[in-house]
Amino acid sequence: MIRRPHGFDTLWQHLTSAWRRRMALNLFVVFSLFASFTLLDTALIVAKNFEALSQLWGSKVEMNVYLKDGVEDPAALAARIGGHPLVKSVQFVSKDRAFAELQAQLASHAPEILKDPELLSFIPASLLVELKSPARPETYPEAVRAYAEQLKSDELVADVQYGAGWMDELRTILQVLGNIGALFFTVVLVGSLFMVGFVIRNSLQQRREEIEILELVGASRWFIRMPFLIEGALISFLAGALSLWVTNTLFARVKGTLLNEDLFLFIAHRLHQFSTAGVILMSLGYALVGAAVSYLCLRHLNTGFAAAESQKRGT
Amino acid sequence: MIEFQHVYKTYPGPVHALKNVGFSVGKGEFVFLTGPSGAGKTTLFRMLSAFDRPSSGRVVVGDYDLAAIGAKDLPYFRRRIGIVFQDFRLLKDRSVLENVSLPLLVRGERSAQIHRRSHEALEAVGLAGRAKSYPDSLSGGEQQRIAIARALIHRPGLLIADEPTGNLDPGLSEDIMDLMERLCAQGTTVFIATHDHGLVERRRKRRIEIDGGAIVRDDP
Repeated sequence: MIRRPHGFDTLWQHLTSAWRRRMALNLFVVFSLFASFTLLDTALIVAKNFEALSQLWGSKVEMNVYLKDGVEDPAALAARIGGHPLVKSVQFVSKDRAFAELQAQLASHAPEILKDPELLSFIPASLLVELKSPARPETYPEAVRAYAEQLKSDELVADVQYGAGWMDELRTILQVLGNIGALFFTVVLVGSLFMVGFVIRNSLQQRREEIEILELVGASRWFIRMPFLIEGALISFLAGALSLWVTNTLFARVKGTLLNEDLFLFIAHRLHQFSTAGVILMSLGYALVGAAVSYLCLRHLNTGFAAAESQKRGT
Repeated sequence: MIEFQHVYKTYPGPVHALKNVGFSVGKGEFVFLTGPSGAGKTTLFRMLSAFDRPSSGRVVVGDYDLAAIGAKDLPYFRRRIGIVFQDFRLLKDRSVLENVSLPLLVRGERSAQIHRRSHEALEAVGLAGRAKSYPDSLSGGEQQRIAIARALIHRPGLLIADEPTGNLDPGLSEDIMDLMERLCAQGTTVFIATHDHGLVERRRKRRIEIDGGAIVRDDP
């Protein structure tokens, strides 16, 4: 018969009996951690989708590069622009094509303007530049502005227009939302860690007598700490996995609702919940947080003289 | 085995619980520590069991200097002694058997060994039938006997007990004292703090009396 190591027996016995004995306390701890982690998950999922939506808002930016009179074949300039990292595609719009498009747009509204023989000479040839979706939304407007200024200084270019006002607004919105998001996330993160610390510390305080007695009968530090660390990790893992499942489920419902609303249909398609790998990694992360907080709390309790210190404090 | 040299213990206040205490106890000796309530018996008992450290002086037990013992050595020292606390210090959410087996469990003994010796220890204190009970369902005397069984189970070189018969009826007290004397005869040093003068008189063992934190009598 293969015999399991005695240490495993002891640990398993400790964990199962500890859970049974303190069912109510442990359920309270799991619930409290679940509440903290759910807040944190919500902050994370909002941050994750905020970035995706930022990319969406900046994904349709076009730039018109108007050419100076006489430039009819700007292939070299188009090739240079096409090679820039911000640029997705470049299309040459000749004077004639621009005029034809103008005719099509104004035909029903102001047909008399189109009869002006000099109109064609006022319309410049241009390069229609479609920009890529921003990889880093927060620096995107600034990068577009800088590139436009660079193009303006080219000897073949008369002017560059790209909706600078809209880009400035986007930049302002991104900055404000980014700051609010960072503040919210920081508050939630600190609050969650504080809550995790408080709950685990409180749970350990209630079991201080157990630590004192184990010390007095000669238990080593790791004999005392290991089960508490594993217990802290398991409880945090359970609460974390539960919170991620709830957050994902609620998020899927919100997304489902948005998918049924025409106004939000385009946005809804861009929203993503936590992936399975993400859920597993985050759950393990929560377990690590639980174990780390337990360790920090235990370090203060399991000093070797826990009983004497407890009496000094009068508790 | 035990060496106290100029030991002082002062608690915040300040309260001078021990004042220049010095004595020595040889291996295999049986010693009673007596004195009125508040005399310093429990404080001295705590210094001896490494429950707490002295404010100054030396407390040496076996190879360990308890005034300077580090956190790493502390568990190993405590595994070599058996302690019976006045307030029993039992884990209320564990069975009698689990409480008694703790000293063997922390030493990493095998399950079968732990089981066998726990039952033997419970038999020795007359509680074999209460192995599955929980401390709260037992009387004070029964809890005291569990604490004694836990202190004896690992056959310590030094047994120290604070009022070990305080909650026991006279007949049971004598049985427990007989058990301790048998242990002493097998080489265990026994150090008992008590205010039961009758018990001390009947046993005719070495008696150290403490009063006001200082030793006032040491009768071999």
